[in-house]
Amino acid sequence: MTADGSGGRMTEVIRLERVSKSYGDGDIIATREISLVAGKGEIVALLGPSGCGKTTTLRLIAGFEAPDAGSIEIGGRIVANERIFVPPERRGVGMVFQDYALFPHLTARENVAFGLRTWNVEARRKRIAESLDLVGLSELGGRYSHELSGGQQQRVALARALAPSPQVVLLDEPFSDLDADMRAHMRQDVHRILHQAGTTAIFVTHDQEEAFMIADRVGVLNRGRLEQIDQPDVIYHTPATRFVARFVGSADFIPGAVEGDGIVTELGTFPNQQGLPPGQAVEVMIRPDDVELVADLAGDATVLTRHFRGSDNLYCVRLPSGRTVHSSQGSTKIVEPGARIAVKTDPTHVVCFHEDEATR
Amino acid sequence: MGLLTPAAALGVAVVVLLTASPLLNLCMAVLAAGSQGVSSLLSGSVVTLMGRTLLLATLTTLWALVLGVPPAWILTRTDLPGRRLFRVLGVLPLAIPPYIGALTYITLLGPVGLVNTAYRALGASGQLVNIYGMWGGVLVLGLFTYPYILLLAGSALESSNPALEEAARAAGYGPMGIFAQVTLPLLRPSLLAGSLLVFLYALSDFAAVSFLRVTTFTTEIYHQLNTRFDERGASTLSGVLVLLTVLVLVAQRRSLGRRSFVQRRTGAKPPTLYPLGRWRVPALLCTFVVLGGSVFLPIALLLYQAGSAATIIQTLASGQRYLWNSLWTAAVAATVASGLALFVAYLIDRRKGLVGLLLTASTQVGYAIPGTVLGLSLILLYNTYLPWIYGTAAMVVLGYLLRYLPQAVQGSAAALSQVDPNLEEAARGLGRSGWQALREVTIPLIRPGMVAGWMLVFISSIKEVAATLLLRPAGFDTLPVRIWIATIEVDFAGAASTSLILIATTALPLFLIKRLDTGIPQLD
Amino acid sequence: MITTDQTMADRGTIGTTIILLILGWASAIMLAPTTPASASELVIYSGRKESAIKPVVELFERKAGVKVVLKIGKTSGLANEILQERQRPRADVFIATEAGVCEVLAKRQALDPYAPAAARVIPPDYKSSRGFWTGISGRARVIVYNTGLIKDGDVPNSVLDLADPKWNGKISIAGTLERTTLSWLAALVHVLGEAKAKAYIHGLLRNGLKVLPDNSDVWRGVGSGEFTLGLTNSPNYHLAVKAGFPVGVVYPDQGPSGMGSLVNANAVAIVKGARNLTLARRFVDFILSREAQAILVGHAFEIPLVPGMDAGEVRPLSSFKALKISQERLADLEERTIRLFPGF
Repeated sequence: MTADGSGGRMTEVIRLERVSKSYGDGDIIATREISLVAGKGEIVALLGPSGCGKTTTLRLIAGFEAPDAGSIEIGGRIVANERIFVPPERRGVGMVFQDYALFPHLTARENVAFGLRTWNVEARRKRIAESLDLVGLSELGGRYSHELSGGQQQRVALARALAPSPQVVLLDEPFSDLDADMRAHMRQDVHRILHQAGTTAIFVTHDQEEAFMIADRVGVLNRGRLEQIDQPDVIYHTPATRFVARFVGSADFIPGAVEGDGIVTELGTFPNQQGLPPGQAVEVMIRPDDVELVADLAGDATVLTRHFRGSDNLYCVRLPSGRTVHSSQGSTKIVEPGARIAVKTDPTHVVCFHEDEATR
Repeated sequence: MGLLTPAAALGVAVVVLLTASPLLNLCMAVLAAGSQGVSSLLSGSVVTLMGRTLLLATLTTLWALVLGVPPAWILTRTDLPGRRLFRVLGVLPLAIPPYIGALTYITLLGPVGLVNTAYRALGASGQLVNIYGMWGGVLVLGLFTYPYILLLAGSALESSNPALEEAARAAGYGPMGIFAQVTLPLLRPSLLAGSLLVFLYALSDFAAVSFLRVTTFTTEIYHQLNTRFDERGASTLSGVLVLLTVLVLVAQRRSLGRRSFVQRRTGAKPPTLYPLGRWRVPALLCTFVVLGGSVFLPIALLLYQAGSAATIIQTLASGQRYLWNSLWTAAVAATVASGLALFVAYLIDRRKGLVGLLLTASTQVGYAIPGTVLGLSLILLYNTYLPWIYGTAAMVVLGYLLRYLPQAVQGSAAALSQVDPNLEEAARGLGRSGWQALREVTIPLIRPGMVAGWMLVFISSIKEVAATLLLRPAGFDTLPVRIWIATIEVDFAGAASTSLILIATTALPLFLIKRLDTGIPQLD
Repeated sequence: MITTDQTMADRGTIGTTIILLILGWASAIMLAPTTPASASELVIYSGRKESAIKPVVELFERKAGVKVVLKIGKTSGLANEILQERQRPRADVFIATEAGVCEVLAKRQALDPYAPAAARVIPPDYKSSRGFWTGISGRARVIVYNTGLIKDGDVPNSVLDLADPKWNGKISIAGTLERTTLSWLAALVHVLGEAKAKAYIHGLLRNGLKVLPDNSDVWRGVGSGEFTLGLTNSPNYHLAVKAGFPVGVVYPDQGPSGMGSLVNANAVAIVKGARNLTLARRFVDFILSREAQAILVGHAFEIPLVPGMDAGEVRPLSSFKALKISQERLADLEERTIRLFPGF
């Protein structure tokens, strides 16, 4: 694994090297030295809370913003650095906006045709048909955007972006304007379409579930910094920072001390997988799905609250030390608040953090 | 998005220079007037003048509110039959400049007007009414500016959320209570905007108050220009007037923030309509009276005053030149204004910060300067520094341009703000350059707004008289100038005929704008 | 860092703007009748009303085969413009409603002297001694009254009697926008002295003197009965009669010790630096000709200054006592007088 998390052998389509961008004379830092690489046909998600700089990163790649420092390459060609700036219309980048930005005065077909101006008539016609077919809207080509539903509009936007066969397509929170039903549906569709088209894609979202579902790799951003970029399961099971741990799934942290092969905590001793030197004080990440609880009158932990979430019950448990952890149990396993329980943990991955630092 | 490119910076400089230079020159003239100017300012007569002008403006505003709010409510919130037609007609008074309105009401209510003649025919002596004076000024000005209130209030009423009123109804309020507790507070911003508009208009009006023999700042400035041999007195008065209008303007802007004047239909539920029942007749009466007094009656009086169709045709035939002058100067001003407005609106929208502020302020200059003062300022400026332009019809076009550029900018800015900035970026992502994106995506979308803006400037320019009187070169008269001269020379039939011709040229574009239904940002 | 995209957008918009502006100016300058470059256009600034002067101008156009561009306005306002335009004069000929203003212009070197042969017969009181302006025709300051509201015998014979309280609110006059009013005020200052003149005028104002914007408002007001008396110029009496109003006229202050009725001469002058000097002189010659005079007398009811002309309905100069004052003196006084009565 290279430092930015890609498999070195894939052809690089996007490369960001230490890209920084700030606004307002340096007061607002949007991105801090972000480096990432995306390979051909890869779908990368940029995940993070609002204001974390993910949309800015996207716009930097597209060319709607210019970086203050660092360089951006697309398809091996430098499109932005200290001396060079290639404008968006010459980068070969397709973009799908959060609100789709379909041209209201053009039909769906004309929207899709917009980027194919330089193609010859026959090729253009064919390509339009292909694109509409790809997104499943072949019969609706003559409609205007206000005559289409949200999901349909999004598909037109996607078709429009893909039609000119761009090197990379960028999607800005593509599903946030859809209702929950549509969203689930569209995620699958878009995933399929992108794979079928074989285009490299980078999309931005604040929804972890979405990122995990669609992307090959997920990058987590926090206040302009790319904290980790990896495959979803790696991110989930071995988060690099506390922020990533908390943002992707839920996490509790309990203190522990390194003693030889194990890390001693209130919940037991965990294997010292990272080979940390003894005597160190760390915090161990515990996910709710790692925590088992068993009703036991002699147990030393108590159930504080229980929330039925449909597919599971989320318990908040107080440990003898007074610290709380959460536990996710099956939907039929019910233990009432106040009951005494015994708590067991056996995580497959043991992730530890020093004070506030990442330790990977 | 900080710095401008050299080309854009040049454009900004040209616009700012063009619009701010008359004002700056006026300031210099005021300063040059020096101590004499200040002492004349402090004299009692100027204070009286200010009092009278402000009184006129205040009363006019109140009167316009009385005339505008009830019809606004009746036409948007009740089931009055024919209300759609009435709403279209309600805009028509804007085709009639107040000075023409003044002429018609002099015909009706003047000392030798129809009412007094009838009164004397009945055997009485003396006169029943005399429209000359303050109350006549208020009556006429209010009657021909109430459409601003009607339009703005009507628009606000139309697009307000019915849920609020339904909640009040559920709480037990009747129609009166709802109006007082819910509707009126909602109307406040648009009423404030409309009131300030009317106030500003009354402050700046020249021809109507002249005809009605009310002495205000503008008439006094005109008096000074035509009796004295130095412009110091006129310049000083102009300075005070501009200060007044700027204060009003600032108050107006502050009260509105960045809110647009016309709220677009949000596509939400339409407001609830109240059934009129037995109130139908009074409501119809109210609407008829207001519309009648501001549209039908004046037109009828003009026809009466013109005498016959033959007179009108003859006036048209002998006055073709004036019609042509009016049409082409207004058209050129509207075109240049639209072009500049697009440039300015684009920069204001896309670049916040100092540049946007500077452009906004400088293009608003036109609102702050009444026609008389603008004419004076332009004469002072161009005669001194650009004499090859002075004395040509270009000055007239320039006067219109500077005075009405704000309207065009407002129209373009409003239209532009409705366009998703992402659209341009989408176009660029698909291979278009910035300029191509503007042309292929943005402009087609704001075209209706731009056309409305063009027509607004056109209509306002056609009606303009105060600046034109001062700026026109020898032999170059426009329709309003002819009306002015005809009135002074007591050729009422000629004045009426020319008025009818003028109204014909302004009514048509007004209808077209209403049909385009893009909303009317601000009018003059 | 090069931002080529913004440049493109702005350049395009700038380009269009500049093209639009240029088109706008070009059309404005080309299409408008701007400065008469040809020798066949004469520019006249006239303080005299269009209805009075137009027939004369049209006759001149026909006879001389030239085009005249006429700008109608207030005498003082037009004089102002002539002064303003001194560096690049636009007007060729100035027609004023009284001569004092021409003296003012002459003093400021804005006029070109021209003493045509036809001017020789004009009485010396009504022309400039140095040839800067020539009187065309005259108008007397008279009292017009409504015969229905007052008997002929009750009308005061002197303007000074108008300050009597019995005339409270019944008298109207045009304000100083009308140059003839200003010259009348100046004449009063000349005759009564500044203090007495001020007292008199303030007396009139306290007595409810209605100051109207224009003389046409005065004669119409009197004719319709809105006012009993009006102080105005003699042609307006005839206009009122022609309009069918019940009016009478008194030429005031005619008694042996009276000051006489002020006669204002409409004056014609040539602007210094006029583009069309030759044509301007031809016009001056023409307006002093019997043909033009006949129109002015017959159509506009002016008093002929050229001796031997048939005055028709108008009372000729010889039939009443005119206030004796030199125009130079009048001009001097006018500049002071305007300051004495601000707001008049």
